[in-house]
Amino acid sequence: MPGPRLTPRLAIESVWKQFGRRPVLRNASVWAYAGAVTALFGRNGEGKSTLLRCGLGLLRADVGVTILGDRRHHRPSLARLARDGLFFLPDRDLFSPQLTVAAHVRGLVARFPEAVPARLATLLRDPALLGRHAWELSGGERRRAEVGYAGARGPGVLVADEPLRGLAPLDAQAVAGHLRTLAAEGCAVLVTGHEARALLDVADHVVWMTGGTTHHLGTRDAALAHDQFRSNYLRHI
Amino acid sequence: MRLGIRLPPAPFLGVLLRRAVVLWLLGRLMVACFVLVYEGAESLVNDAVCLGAPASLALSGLVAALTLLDVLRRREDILLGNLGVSRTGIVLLASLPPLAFEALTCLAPV
Repeated sequence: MPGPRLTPRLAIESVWKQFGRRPVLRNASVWAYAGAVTALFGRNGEGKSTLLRCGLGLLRADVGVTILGDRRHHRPSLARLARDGLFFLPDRDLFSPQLTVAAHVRGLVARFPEAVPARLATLLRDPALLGRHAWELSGGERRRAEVGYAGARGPGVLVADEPLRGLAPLDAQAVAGHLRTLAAEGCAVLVTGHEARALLDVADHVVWMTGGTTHHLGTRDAALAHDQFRSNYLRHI
Repeated sequence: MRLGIRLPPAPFLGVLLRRAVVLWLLGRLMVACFVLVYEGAESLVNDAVCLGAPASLALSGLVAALTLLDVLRRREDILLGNLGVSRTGIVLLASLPPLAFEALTCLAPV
């Protein structure tokens, strides 16, 4: 568990959610701390994305509250949270197919003049990709562009749902390093994914989601020493 | 009271306005076809150009709703949300072109 003096910059707390009669989330909570990467792990269908979406107002939670900075949001909205410095990277398709990557960056800078487009260029590596539409990029290129775009925003809080999805090991490492750099600059990073090795390497706090609820395992080393987490999630890593 | 509604920045603004204009044109075309089929060509100018306030407002609302649905279908709501643009902002923006064109068509001399 994080030390008692730490105050989370983002807290998604006590979320309950049911789809029809099927309960998906049972009192699930997750926190993101300034300058740290929090990794949320869990098997498919355990409710990681649902928890994030409820916390960011993309799905209506039955019960729950989102606290960003010192503001409590009982009915959160991504637009309001984004104005307060949060950026959400969904698990797929952030970009509009009608615009080039460069046009997306222009829009970002127009809205947030403090944005740093150079971060996107660093992660994208090939500047020619900026002139392409999202549908002209390969899956890996698009994902790198999306993570770079999120970093270019210079967010106070970055919530990234499976940012390493579909990336080659080297690219996954680069993107994980990018998340680490953002955290080092003071951003609170909350990340999910199944690339346990790459994510554990950059994680400061580990949260394990199982049975619709969250278990805060503490640091990477504490998580690796957690018997149930090892046997029910990690297995051979 | 602060409403906190923001319009999208430049490239996204143009894209959404264009989509709303295309949907309005399609809506108008459908109205013209409807009038042509059920009332004949002689009613086309009188009934299909100036629809009257209730029908104009209904068409504008429909265009705004369809534009929002199109944004959701393309999963662009998260991108716009990250730029601080809410669904209310999208609906408001998408209703501007049809309202403006409806006003112009009613003012235009026939």
